[in-house]
Amino acid sequence: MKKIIFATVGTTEFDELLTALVQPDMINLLAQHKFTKMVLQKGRGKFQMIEDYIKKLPIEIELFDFKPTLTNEFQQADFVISHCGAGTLLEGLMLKKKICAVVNTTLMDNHQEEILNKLLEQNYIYGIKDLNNFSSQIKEILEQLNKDVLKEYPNCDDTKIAKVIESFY
Amino acid sequence: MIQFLLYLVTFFIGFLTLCYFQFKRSKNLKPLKNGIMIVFGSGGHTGEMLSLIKKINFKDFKKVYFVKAFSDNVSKDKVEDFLKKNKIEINNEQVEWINIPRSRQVKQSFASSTLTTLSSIIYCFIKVIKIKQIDILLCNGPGLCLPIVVSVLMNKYLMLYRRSKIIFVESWCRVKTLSLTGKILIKFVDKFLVQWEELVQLNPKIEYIGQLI
Repeated sequence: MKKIIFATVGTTEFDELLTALVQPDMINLLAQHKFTKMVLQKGRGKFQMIEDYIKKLPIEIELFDFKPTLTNEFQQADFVISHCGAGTLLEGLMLKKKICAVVNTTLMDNHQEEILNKLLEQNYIYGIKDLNNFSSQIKEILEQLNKDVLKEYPNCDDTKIAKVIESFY
Repeated sequence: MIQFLLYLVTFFIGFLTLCYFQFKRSKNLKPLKNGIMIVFGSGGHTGEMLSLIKKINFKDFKKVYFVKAFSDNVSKDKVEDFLKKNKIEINNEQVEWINIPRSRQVKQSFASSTLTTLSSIIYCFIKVIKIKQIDILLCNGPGLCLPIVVSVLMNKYLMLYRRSKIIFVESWCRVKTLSLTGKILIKFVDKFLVQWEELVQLNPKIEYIGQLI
């Protein structure tokens, strides 16, 4: 049985997150939670991994920068770690995935945090607001993962705009 | 001389009153089903817009105009793919794609962006006068919709086509503040919809419609 964790940064760069994810203690933690594979999408970042290091790891690693669509990656993933981009979060939520959003503190004036706080408040996702003690924060989240702490993102009424248009007539 | 001035003033006041009543009347004028225009602002905005238009009865309209930026070479495929997948009824002859220049590139300076915005408005206005009959304009907040909304407004107030109704939907990621485009356009659009309740208090014109995605 494969158990996949998918980390994505969308069209931005967030090498600090990817680096934190491949640290030995982090990998061991994931292996303990029975993850067999980690897929990393690095976007515009310069992040690289040494082949020899990858070979020694207890879980499989896949690294790429961009793909035309990430739908497959999302669908196959059992857990998603995402940068805090609205587009990426939305895609994951609509596919009903368990997501942890990580704020990129190197970006100034990040209005994306607005939507993050809203989603956290409603319990739709997990969130990490800084990379200090990253692995212990992830550890806590992994322990909650199977306990139904998260609420499923609701499907919305997609006739609303059509009704607004009709209201003019 | 004085008599001439008096005539001029009377004429001017008369003209203004006429304009005023025309404006007032255009509020009560109902749109027809000649044309509907949707603005795709690329990236997340295009994605959001797709979920907004899912249930619109496009086949009722004579023409459907899809607007995107010249530099955006993803949105068209994305939209066409979406229409097919969701089996949205729409004829190829109905659809017309309109490319417009972006009014502002990311990180462009303020001074140069006023110039590019202005040229973008002129470009859009020429496109809009050619089409003329735009009954519904739907946009969701990218900078790209600014020149289009201004053009449709000018089209309306110059009385070329007074039935246009403009619907502005603030983006899903706006929870506590309005986007710059939203702040500029709020006075001029016919409906200003937001997806999070906190925003309602900012302006009496704002209507809370709830999650659209």
